[in-house]
Amino acid sequence: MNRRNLIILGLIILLTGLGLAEVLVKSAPSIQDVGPGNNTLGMRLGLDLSGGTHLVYEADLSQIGNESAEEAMQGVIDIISMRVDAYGVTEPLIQKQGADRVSIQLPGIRDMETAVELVGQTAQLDFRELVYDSEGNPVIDETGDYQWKPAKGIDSQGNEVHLTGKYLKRNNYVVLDQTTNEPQVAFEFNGEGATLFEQITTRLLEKPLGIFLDDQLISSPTVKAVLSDNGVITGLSLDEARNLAILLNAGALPVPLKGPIVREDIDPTLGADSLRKSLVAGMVGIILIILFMLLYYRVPGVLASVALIIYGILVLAAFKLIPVTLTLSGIAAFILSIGMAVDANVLIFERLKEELRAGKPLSGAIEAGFNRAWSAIRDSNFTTIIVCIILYWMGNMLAEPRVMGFALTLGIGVLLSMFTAIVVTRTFLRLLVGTGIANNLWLFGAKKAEQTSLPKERQ
Amino acid sequence: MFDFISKRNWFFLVSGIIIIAGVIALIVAGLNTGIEFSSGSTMTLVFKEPVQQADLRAAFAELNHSEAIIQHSSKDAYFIEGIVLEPAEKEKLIDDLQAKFDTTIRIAEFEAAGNETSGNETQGNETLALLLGKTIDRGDLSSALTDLGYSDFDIEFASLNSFLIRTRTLEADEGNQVERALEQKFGSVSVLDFYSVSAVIAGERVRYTVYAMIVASVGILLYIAWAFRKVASSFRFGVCAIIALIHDVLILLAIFAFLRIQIDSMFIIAMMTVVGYGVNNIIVVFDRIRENRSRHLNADLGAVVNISITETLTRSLNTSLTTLFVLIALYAFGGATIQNFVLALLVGIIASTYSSICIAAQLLIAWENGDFAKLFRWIPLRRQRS
Repeated sequence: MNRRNLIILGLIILLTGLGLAEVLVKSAPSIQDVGPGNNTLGMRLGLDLSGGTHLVYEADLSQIGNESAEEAMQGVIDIISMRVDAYGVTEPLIQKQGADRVSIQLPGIRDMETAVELVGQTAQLDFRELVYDSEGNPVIDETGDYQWKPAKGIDSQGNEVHLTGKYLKRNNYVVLDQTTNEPQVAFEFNGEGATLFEQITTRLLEKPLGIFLDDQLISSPTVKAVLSDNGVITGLSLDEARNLAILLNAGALPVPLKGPIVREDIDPTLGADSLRKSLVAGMVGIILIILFMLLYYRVPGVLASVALIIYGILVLAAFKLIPVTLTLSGIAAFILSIGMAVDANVLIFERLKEELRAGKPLSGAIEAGFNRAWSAIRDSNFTTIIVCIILYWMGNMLAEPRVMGFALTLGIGVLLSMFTAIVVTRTFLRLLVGTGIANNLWLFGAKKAEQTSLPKERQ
Repeated sequence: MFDFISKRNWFFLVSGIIIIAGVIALIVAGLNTGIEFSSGSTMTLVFKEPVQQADLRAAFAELNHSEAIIQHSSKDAYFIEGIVLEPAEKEKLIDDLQAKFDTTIRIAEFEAAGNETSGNETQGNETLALLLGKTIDRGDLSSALTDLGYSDFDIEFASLNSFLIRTRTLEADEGNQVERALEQKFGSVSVLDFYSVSAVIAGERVRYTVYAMIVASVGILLYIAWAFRKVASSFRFGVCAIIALIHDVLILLAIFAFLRIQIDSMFIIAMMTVVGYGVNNIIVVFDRIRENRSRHLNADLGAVVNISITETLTRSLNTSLTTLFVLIALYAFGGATIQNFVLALLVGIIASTYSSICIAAQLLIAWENGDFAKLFRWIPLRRQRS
């Protein structure tokens, strides 16, 4: 029996050591170094702590082509990921939410306009030509704008097709015009596109070619020469050119997005201040708990305090391994879960005291105490886990990372607190049996007192 | 041994009064819901030049936003000239200063007028202002900046106007238009934060919150009914637990309705936490009833419940006490951002500790004694007489 407990103790020490290593391995210089790419203990920080932009869009699946809704959503996520990576966002978080929503978190990006431009545009590029009347003059519609029609050519299969961005290679880049110093986006077509472009530029020689992005005319140069595999888009500011190159390289979204239905520009300074203060507050709270446990439960209190510290290390390691995004609500959940971890110990110790008062020897009292407390610990923790699962589901449906972070943190906390109470505290207590400490019941907070008993049963 | 059972009607009465008063407050004044639940946009704007609240209100009315709710506060600030920062450096600087002065310091950036272009702004054309959470001596700030390795800077004190504005939902373009219009009228403005929720999402939030509450109740009910399946009428345990949990949530809502504190998604989290915590407390008591009942089969339920509550009393109070230690520490030192959240947890945990001792098990007794049936019989009788 004792041998087995020593083995378990060894495993606990090993696990705690591994946990500690995991927590400290990518440690930041100090807890204050909060910011994008500069994470507390190497943990991923939520937007409330790092600052940034949060956008939620709804995909318009009504215009879906022959692919499934899941494929379309995955395409949307992949393309947005490519765009924000190309823009240089560190640790973006792009997630599908519900059936047709996508939530985009861009840490460190505080410029909402750019974020919306980068993420929300379908970025369907296409080429058009003017409509001419019988006398060869361009047709002007009621609003006074030129009328455009799709620029088409014959592809290798002999079909007449519209020249769009899908024939572009993914290596578009910004160049500055050598004489005017104006920014331009240089693009290159694939083989099929080059054939089409050649036919179109031959036909439109000395005539304007319309370049449209999402049905907006962005440039209408006059064709000066027959071109085939490459060209440039002009008339853009430097930022516009840069963003257009990113959009063209990532490609168009398979379905257009509606929204954003949630737009959030989060200032991290309040969060960072709160994080720092919460950590201090958490420390104060834990010290109070440990003091209370020591004074009230004495020796078991010491064991529970050690178990609590092990619990803290294991939770932090789990957060890093999973990984859990650290948000203020998650920190609140963590601190709360410490309270719940203590609860399991309190339940056990109260039972232990009762059994000792009833005159059982320590080893028997420990086993009885655990067995009696187990049903309460199990039932109370399982119901809390039910609540966590429902909360996580709700957070996911609502695109609310705070709710999800809280539920996940609390769920992990509850599971690990059961482990520390049942395995760690129990092993510690068992190892005490047979040592000198075990003979002094006062150290266990149990003076020999009469057991509370039922009043005389009514007749 | 204290008799928790015979005084149950007093406990019910106390809770009933708080809840009824809360429900009245809810009906009369309504809950103060944030934009997460009622849709809209909120933003914090800081102006470089002095701006009167009335002028700002007029400007919003001109922009077709007469519904805007505007709260003004005056913020002590320092303009910092001569320091140009990359975004990451900015974060670092603020974190360092916040840690040093132990207060919230927010940064406002003012662009030179007419420099607003879409896309990335070029750096160097902006003025930085540090908005202080408390009074900081100019010399202290200056030496702090020097310690952080900055030199050749100027610090100038100013009292800036900060406005918290809530409007109906601003679409993406509209938000920018409002910013431009205000800039033209009042000079340089810095948007510290912005949050916008469309009506679709807000409606869904309310719906899913209700769903989550219902699903959670059913889940808890089924689990308890299953866990107590060996006890006679195990279903009652589940139902009484749910009623006690609803009691906790109602008390929490009642207090927040009284205090007119804004209900946001953090409040919902607090509410669900209280449910999770409350269910813990109730189950510990019920678990003891389950055990004592199987030990003393002949005993009267009231006596079993009373001894079960007494036996678990130390545990209930100790656990709540340890949680309250942490919460009180968080409330006192945790900073303003999470204060309402922590307050909700404090209220909810006190309510759930109370209900696990004084309400949940007493409901079982009331059910067993047929008190509810008596109550229902009593109500129509009164009606007939009047």
